Amino acid sequence: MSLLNSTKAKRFFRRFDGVFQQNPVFVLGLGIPFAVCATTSLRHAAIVSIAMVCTGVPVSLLASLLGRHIPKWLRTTVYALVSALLLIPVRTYLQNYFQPATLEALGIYFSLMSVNTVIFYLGQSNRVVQEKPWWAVVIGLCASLGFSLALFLIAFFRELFGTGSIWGYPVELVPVKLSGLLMPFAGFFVLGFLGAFWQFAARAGNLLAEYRRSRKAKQKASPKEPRPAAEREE
Amino acid sequence: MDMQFFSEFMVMAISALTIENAVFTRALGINRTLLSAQRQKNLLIYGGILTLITTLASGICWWVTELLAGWEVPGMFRSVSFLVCISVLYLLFRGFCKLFLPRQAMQYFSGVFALAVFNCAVLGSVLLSALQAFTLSQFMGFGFGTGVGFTAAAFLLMEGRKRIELSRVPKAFQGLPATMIYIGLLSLTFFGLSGHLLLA
Repeated sequence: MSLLNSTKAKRFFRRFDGVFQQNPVFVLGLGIPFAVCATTSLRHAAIVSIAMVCTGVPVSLLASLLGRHIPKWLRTTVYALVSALLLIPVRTYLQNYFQPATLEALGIYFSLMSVNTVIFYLGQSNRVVQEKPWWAVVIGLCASLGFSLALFLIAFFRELFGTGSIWGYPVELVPVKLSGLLMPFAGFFVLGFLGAFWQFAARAGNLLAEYRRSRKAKQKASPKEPRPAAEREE
Repeated sequence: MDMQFFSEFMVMAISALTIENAVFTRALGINRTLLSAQRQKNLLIYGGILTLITTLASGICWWVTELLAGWEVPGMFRSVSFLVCISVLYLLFRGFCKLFLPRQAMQYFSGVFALAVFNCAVLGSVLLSALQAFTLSQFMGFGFGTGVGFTAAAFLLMEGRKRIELSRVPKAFQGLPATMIYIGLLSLTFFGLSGHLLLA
């Protein structure tokens, strides 16, 4: 059996699933409010992504260290309160790098990160609770990166074709500017189409891997036939 | 005074149910429970708990807002204080149900409680009300309308999802992408209903 197909190797690589194969937004359908309403610009996506990393990783660590000792019915409460407390220094820190108007424009969505479903998924997931603390941090980081990647992709399209700018800097080559892309309904459409592309890419990748695997198996199963005796004598 | 309270309550409730629907105008409360619910009874229980908690939390959070304003506490501590109020309400509600509900019903509800209480719709509703400096009647009306609007949106989504599953949808769009586009179309409807116009 190939080294990559062993159970141990699969378990190792599954910890990094959160970025692509188990992307929280496109695959698991988590954090939809942020993907729709906090992606009107790349700066907003960056703020929410930083908040996600700063809350998701500590919650994963907490779940690994104490998850087994906290009753199931109390876990959500604990994780929500911990996230809300962590968001206070994060907000203070972000005020040094982003203009107050940018943070204000996010509205309630920064504070809502404390009840983000990605955090509850990380905190309640058996994978995280049963893992060692170091690997729980890796899982939390990968899920946060996957969440951030999704938000950045959506925000890129919406800002580029909505305002004709990237990160607030105008781009002159944009053929059309649709202000409607900044509305919530457009967020749902962009999320839907990007999600469809993600599923298509994942399916294409799986088919390609399956084709390569079957080709290797066929080559191993059917060795080359020996040449006829007449040809050998010649 | 009572009539004024009731009229303000109803006006905000109808506003939160229709033109400021939490699901379609702000994408609040959309989670896996909403996207994968199959039975109307489960959705009704989920929506009912959410409506009750949002309405009660709105009343308590209005009082907390007044208190924080009096103490001149910065706005960034508002969400923590609201979350503490919601957590206390969750624990009280859970304790009450554990005392008075039969064990089977409690086992059935326990999986739904936390999801229905710690929800973007609940916290989002109280934060929005606090930002707009509502009175007590407006606060509670907005909370009640958010809960009822969420429940109505959940039923709409469930019916739409069932019809999408029976239709011929391309493989790449099956599941979440088709549901998001469906919600987007409904959101566009509410956008037009509220009288917004797209700028050129």
